[in-house]
Amino acid sequence: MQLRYIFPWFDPSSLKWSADARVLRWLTLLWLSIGLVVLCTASYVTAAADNADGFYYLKRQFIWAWIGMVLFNLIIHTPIRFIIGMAHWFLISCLGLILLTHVPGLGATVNGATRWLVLGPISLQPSELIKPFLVLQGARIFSQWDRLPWPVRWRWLGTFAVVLGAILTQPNLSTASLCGMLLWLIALAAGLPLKQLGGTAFAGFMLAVLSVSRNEYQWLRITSFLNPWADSQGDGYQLVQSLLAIGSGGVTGTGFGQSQQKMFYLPFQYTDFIFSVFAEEFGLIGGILLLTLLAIYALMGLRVAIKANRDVHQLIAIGVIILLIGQSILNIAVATGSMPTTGLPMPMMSYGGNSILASLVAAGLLIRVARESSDRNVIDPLRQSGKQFGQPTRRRSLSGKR
Amino acid sequence: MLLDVLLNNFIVNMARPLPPTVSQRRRPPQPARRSQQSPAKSQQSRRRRWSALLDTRQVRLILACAVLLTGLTGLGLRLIKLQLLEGKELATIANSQQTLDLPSFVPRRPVVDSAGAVLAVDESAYILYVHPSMVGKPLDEVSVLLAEALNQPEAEILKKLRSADTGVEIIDGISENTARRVRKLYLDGIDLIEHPQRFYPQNDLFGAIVGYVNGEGQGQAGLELSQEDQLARPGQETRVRRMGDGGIIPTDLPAGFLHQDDLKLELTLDRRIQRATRVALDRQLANFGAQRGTAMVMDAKDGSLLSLVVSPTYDPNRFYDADVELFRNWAVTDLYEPGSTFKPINVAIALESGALKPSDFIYDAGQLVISEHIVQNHDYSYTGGRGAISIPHILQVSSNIGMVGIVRKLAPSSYHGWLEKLGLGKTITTDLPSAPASQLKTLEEFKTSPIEPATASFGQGLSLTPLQLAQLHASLANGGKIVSPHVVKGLVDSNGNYKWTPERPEPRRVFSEETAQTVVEMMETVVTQGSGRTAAIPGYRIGGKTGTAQKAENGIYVAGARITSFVGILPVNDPRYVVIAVVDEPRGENAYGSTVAAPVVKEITQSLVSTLGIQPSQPVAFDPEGNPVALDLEGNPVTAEVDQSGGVWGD
Repeated sequence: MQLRYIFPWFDPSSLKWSADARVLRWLTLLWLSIGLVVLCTASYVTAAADNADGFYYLKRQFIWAWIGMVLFNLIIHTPIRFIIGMAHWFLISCLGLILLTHVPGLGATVNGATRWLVLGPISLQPSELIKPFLVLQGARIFSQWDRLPWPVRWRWLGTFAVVLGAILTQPNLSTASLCGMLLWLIALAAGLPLKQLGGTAFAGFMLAVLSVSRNEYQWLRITSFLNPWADSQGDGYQLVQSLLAIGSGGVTGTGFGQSQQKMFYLPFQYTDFIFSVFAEEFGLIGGILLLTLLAIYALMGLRVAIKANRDVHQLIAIGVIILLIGQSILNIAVATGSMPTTGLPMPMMSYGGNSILASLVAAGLLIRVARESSDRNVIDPLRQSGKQFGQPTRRRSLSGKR
Repeated sequence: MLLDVLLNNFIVNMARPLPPTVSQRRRPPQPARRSQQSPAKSQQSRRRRWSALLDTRQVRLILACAVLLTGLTGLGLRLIKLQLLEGKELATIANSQQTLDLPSFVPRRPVVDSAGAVLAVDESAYILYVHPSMVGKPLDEVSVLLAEALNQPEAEILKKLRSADTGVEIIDGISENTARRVRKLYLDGIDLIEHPQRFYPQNDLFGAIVGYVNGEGQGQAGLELSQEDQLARPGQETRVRRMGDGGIIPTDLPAGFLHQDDLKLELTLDRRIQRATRVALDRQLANFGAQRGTAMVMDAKDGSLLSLVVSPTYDPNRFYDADVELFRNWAVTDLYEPGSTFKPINVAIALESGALKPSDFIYDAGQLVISEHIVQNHDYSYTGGRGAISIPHILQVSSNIGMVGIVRKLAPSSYHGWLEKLGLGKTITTDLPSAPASQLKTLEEFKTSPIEPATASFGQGLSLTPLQLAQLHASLANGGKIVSPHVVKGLVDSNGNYKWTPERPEPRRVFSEETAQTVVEMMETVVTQGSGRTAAIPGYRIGGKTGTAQKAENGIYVAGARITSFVGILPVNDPRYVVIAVVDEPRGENAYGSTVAAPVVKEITQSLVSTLGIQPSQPVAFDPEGNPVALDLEGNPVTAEVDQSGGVWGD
């Protein structure tokens, strides 16, 4: 057992990675650390009130982050070709789980949406877990789109449609549209014909309209977003409270732990609206720094994508940043009232094991791509680092898979 | 824009051409290394880089990333708008929802009697509002339910329900219990608004003393008014932070917020004696159809009142139904001519000044003409002159002429000085509100017209309140000191510690103990053998003095209108308590101080001695019917026969 699987933030091999991979690793760890710190302050009051332990949610998040980091390290040390080869199985498994949430009695309904599978102490949200595999499979399909026969294309387009439909009917418009946009942007980056892309976009839009017209709460959210103050105690309540939190932060913020709005004014203050707490406590300065971090992350992702030597790698890299940064943008846009209120978690920050796992797996894929495209040693098992830690046999057997 | 430039530089610096196919796995040399190549080669490669930008795949990768960067830029602008431009405005709104001005109302402190019985306390009361349009049930059905819960006529409720669509006030001041019954109906469209209400559990028993508070919780009469500072708790308006679920954030609370004091305003009054006083007085008022009456028991040692009753009175729980006249505690606020009850005071003055000796005899001619005014005894018409009589005798028969003789032993200016020293013409110090200044003729009038000191000698031509009369008699009962009559003991906490006691002037000595005791013992003879026999209680040594005066209004005596009074002091061997009863305008020929007021004092005294456990000072025997009979020193029964037939007019 490598040390990095016990203390996952500790990976001596990273010293020998390419600069891009190392920078991205540090950016991921920084983002995750900021997330844990913000979760601590955002969840403390609720945790103390609901569970008599202010660190209740932080502790659980820490365990999930630990598990996520182990997967993160595992992926960084696994050839991307190998992962791609299994991607469709994971995708189908997750789709199966999503379909299971539709089985009466299996899916757990929270706030009117059946998105969860409860297995003892663990709640699985397959629509979160499927995200990195959608990136992988999307990249895999669209990177060789030209060479695929139409039956294969239709088979996978159909699979994607079933995934989106199954998520949409949970109902979970936000995740469904995020996944839809993710696939669409990967397809766009893959260079698919604009005609097909345009047609898909139109179909997706019509689907969204259909969903909104059938679910009144989604329509109310959309209308209340335009003028939340019109009904600040009703449909506009969540957004108004979020705007008040962000506005209260001002330029310099109220200071760590000093958010007033987290005191049960903000709904979902440690999940969907965690950014509002962050913005209240760290102000405009903190907000701009966080956005800058996300921008650097996106640019690093783009740099990795452009430098990647295989189409599928390029699309995985761009898909990961679309997933992570795109979801962050949607989350912040909701919190700042730039978009209708939807329930998307902030990657690496919002409370929730499924979200953390999905985010870290996605980040791991990006870093693996970065390593494979610029680190010439990464493919060569004999040049693997860590001799000084002994156990060469086991390492060799691990690298032997590659 | 800036971002786009940066973006382009970034892309250009790192971008390098990609092979068009995916088959090539190994990459050409890294761009960083190529930057060290010759300028010519570098130029060539830059051209290749630009052409590479046209490659569909790369453009599209950049396009996808540009979407993200545009989104992030937009969010940055949005944050600047929210936090920099609108930040103050939003923070103000947030602050207004996060802070809470705690209602300025803090419950008033309760008022309790000396035994701790509650006389006034704040309780929650509710106003019931119904919004008929939101009830969602037929109104006649709702009115039946409400009528049952409220114990109110159903028809009236229905009428109110039909009067408007929303905000119909059905009833105010319903109790917690009733409110609970209404809640249990689980009706929609119902509002129960809680508000504090002052509750007076003793109803009208202490009405005139305790007073009442108005709807805003401010004292309007009695102690509620005069002790506002003690009763109103420090009403700090507290701004606290609150949470979204309504909870108050404890760290922001002012120190001591949760330690609201448990102080109560304790009175010297005793509910049992108060009730006995009330019963005795009311019975006699009814018997004689009197207009009004007052009675009180004072502890002469410090001037504390054990009971103070004016009747008729009002119930402060329903002050709005009461005649405003009743809000005045006239025992404290109204002046009257004390008449004969003032005579013992004059005797004390004469003795203390040395002008009179207890053993002196005064000539009582029955009638005198003083500067064209005829002054006579009340019984002159059938008794005539009595000749030389002793001082106790003067008091026993309440001789006006005898009193004139006593006072004439003093110079008018000296007498006037004495009256002023006793506090006549001044306002007494008391914690009961609205005490007026008593009235006394000027020194000039005393000197120039001899009739003034003469009438003052038998308690006319000067006026004071019943409370001041009690105070003057207390100076006889306590060995010669003027004390401040009061009902407030102080603010007491739940452990019985006094956190505040009112500051009162030191008792002021006016008579020597010897003088005071001599007068009290003279007064005892009034009860044992004089006009006050109706107040006698077997076994107890009681001093007393009757008074029956014609009422004067605007300086003219009103024919047939009398004010009868009696002052009792007990026990004579160790005087402590002063009991006074004043009955205003009793009807009937037989309405005198001895027949109207003295029995009231007797009844009050009986309950006083039993309540306080005062032991009889004389042995008591029982007659064959089981009634107690006092024995004199020889062991013979002392009979206290009441001569109801003759009456004692002007006594």
